Amino acid sequence: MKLIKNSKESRNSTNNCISKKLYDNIEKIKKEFGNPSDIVIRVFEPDDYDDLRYSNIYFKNLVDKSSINSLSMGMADVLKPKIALKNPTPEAYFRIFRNYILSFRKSEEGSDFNVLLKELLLGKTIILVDGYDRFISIDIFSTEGRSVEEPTTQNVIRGPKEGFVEKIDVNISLVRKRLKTKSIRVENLTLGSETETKILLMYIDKIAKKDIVDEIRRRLNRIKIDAILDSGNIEELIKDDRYSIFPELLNSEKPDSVAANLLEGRVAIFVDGSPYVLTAPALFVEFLQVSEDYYHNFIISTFIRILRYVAFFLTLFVPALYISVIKFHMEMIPTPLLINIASQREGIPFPPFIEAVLMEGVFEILREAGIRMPKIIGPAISIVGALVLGQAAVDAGIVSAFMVIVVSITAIASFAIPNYSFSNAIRIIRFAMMVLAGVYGLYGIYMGSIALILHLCKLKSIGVPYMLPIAPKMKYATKDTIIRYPLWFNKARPAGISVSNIPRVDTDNVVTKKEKGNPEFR
Amino acid sequence: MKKLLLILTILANVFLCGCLSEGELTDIGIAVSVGIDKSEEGYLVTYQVMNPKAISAKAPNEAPTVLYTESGKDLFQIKRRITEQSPRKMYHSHLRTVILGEEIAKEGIKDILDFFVRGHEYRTDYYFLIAKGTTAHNILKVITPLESVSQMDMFNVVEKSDKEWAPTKSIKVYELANKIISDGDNPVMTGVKVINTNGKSGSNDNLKFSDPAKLSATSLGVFKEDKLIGWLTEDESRAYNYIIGEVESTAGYIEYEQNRISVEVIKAESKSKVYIINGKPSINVGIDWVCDISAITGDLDLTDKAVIEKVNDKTREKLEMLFNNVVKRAKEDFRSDIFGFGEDIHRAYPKLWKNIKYDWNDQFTELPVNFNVKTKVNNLGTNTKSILSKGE
Repeated sequence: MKLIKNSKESRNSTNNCISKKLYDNIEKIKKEFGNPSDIVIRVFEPDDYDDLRYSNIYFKNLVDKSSINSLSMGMADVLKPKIALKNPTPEAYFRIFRNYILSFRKSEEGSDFNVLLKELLLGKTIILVDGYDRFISIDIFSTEGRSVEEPTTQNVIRGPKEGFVEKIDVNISLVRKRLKTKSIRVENLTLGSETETKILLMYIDKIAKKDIVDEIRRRLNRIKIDAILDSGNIEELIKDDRYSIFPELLNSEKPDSVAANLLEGRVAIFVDGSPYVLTAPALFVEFLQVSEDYYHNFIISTFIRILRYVAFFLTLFVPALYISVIKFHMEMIPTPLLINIASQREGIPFPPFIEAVLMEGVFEILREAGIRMPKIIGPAISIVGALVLGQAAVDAGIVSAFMVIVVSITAIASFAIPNYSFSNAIRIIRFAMMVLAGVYGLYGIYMGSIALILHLCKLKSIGVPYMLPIAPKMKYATKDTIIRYPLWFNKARPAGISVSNIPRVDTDNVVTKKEKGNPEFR
Repeated sequence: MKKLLLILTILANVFLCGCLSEGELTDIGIAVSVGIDKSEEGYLVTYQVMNPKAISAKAPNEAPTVLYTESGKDLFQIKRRITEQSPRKMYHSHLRTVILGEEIAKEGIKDILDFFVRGHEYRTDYYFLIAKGTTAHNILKVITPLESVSQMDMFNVVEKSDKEWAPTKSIKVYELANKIISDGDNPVMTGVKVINTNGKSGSNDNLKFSDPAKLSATSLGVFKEDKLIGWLTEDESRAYNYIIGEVESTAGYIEYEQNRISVEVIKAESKSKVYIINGKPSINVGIDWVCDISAITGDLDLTDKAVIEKVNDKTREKLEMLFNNVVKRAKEDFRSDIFGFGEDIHRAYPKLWKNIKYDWNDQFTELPVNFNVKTKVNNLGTNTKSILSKGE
């Protein structure tokens, strides 16, 4: 019994190493993958060498075709002027190949069969030499994929228009291009037992708080899951308050905003295959800021930011206020407006709450349909939608014209919130507010608002309070919340997030005052 | 388990609270005005209720307002009894005016007032008016042009003319109540009357005339405590408003030689001071009066300082005469201190006031009132000389 067991064990251990015989290995690889049609196994037997046999193995769709051809040709070229080796062992040939490949490609060697399989799946090309039990794996990724384009969700008028793509290497390069500092740190991780997704952690050493970086790293390392397909998966898993509706990591499609976040001491998480890069910790105020704010005049940016806050409150409260005012607090409306509303509501069969839920519901359906439907039928649905939500519904006497205005204001305001995840959160809370308004009136809205504020104050993003510059008041950070102070006012970095002892701007005024000798050109 | 209980508690809250004071807009009748007349039983109450359907042009042939009339002894009971006629609950928060029939105003309005002050449904921004020489019902019946809800129309009339025209004065519920309970003050109230009466003033047909029946604010009705005792003329009403300092802007004219000078009053500030002479109070009212010239007849040279001086003198004379007239009228005809001089004495000499407040309205007839008017012409308008002066 013992003997058998031993032999089994030894067989297992030999299984893990690749065999010396090339054809054994090839058979084994074919068996492991179930002999798929997209694996390419080329065996070369150069004429001049009786004792040499080697093979290239790769998945044909994962590698770059032209590169693989030049690799094969190159390897053949190496052998062209016949190399006279004193000791022509397979190992010697292996070394020749290895040296040749090292000169132009990133490559690794190994002997573990499982590693070989993994490398193949990562899109690498494997070179095996008959008679030697090691392999070379070469990085020849396919370059196929989207090229860098404008972001689809986070558009700007002024500022860089590059957006991240699905390839992590490209994404890293987009950020590195913007931050030419040696203190940038990139850490590598692989997550997902089936997907083996590459995750990169990027931060700036002198600026990011060590505790925050350690905490993010610890959380990422604790993830045990079969698949990570998008950065959304990561966000959901490492969030502080898993059941909260609010996003606690900021997702961005824009390399410049990720760079700016890194400079404020945040940590960026790149996920291979996702054009959305996460930055953490994320604060409430960040979701109402866009990178463009810093590129425009500060007065204009402040105005637009205030506008966004207004939009935030509008999208949250307008339907609820409408319901409560019409249903409970009619005395609050000025009389001419009441007469107006009353004359519109004449003959509407639904109470305002049902009316509001109906219309908001239809709008949400329209919105969802607008995202999912094939692009070709877009105009059709917008026409139908405009009719459903618009004049026809009013004419049919199902909803009042005022309700259409309410829905439109809500919809437009919700699009003014720059972050989609955040605006989704507000969408849902809006419905809760509507229910509260329908039951309690304004009192319900107050209660809901208090609950919302309490919830927001409780939230944490990687241990940092979510409402940071406002709720625990932070001296420096408040200069960049609702009011965007001029750049020369933000001398320090936000204290709660970064190591804030390094000044950001040194000169108070680049342009000196006139009496101090500012030249006047005529 | 705890969480489940918490959720149940919250849900129970939602379902059990019952929607207090909830009312759908389509279930309420928005009462724009309440008219109170005298009837055999007690009160005859008329509600003017807005008809939203007619206003929205869904039913343009319907009258924009509907009247519900009910008589009874108790105002609150009447309000509820109206549901016998009306499919909708009366909603009073948007009341614009309360019209008191002249008869009931003469009998006293003390008992009516508490209903409006106490009820939580009433806002405090509506005006009290007296139906001059008619019943409130007749006033509310009229369908007015331009603003189809007649009492919205009346509300605007009172509000506008209070600002732009001296002889009217608006009065809201708290001011009215305060003046009634005050020993040294008595209220006045603008009257309202129907002008241009035709047989169809209560129908949409009224709007088909180019000169339809309208409602018009009139001069002021004088109260002694809570009873209407008479009416001031337009000039007296104007003088009254000057004395109490309620004029923001108004128009008037001055006769000067053969010319008439129309002026726009841009400032008329009044300050009354109490003096004690021989242990008896007397009042000195200082009025600061500034006007712009808006038109003249004849070829008066207003650039001449002497002329302006004379104009000022004339104005002063005229104003003082007006003021003295109205005070005389209040003293002799009404024996009612509508100017609040008693309150001024109260404020200045509270101890003295304690002795005289019980029969103040009688004492008021003996009160010496002196006027100190300062007038000033501020602006001559866009042309200095008359267009008739032929450019000499």
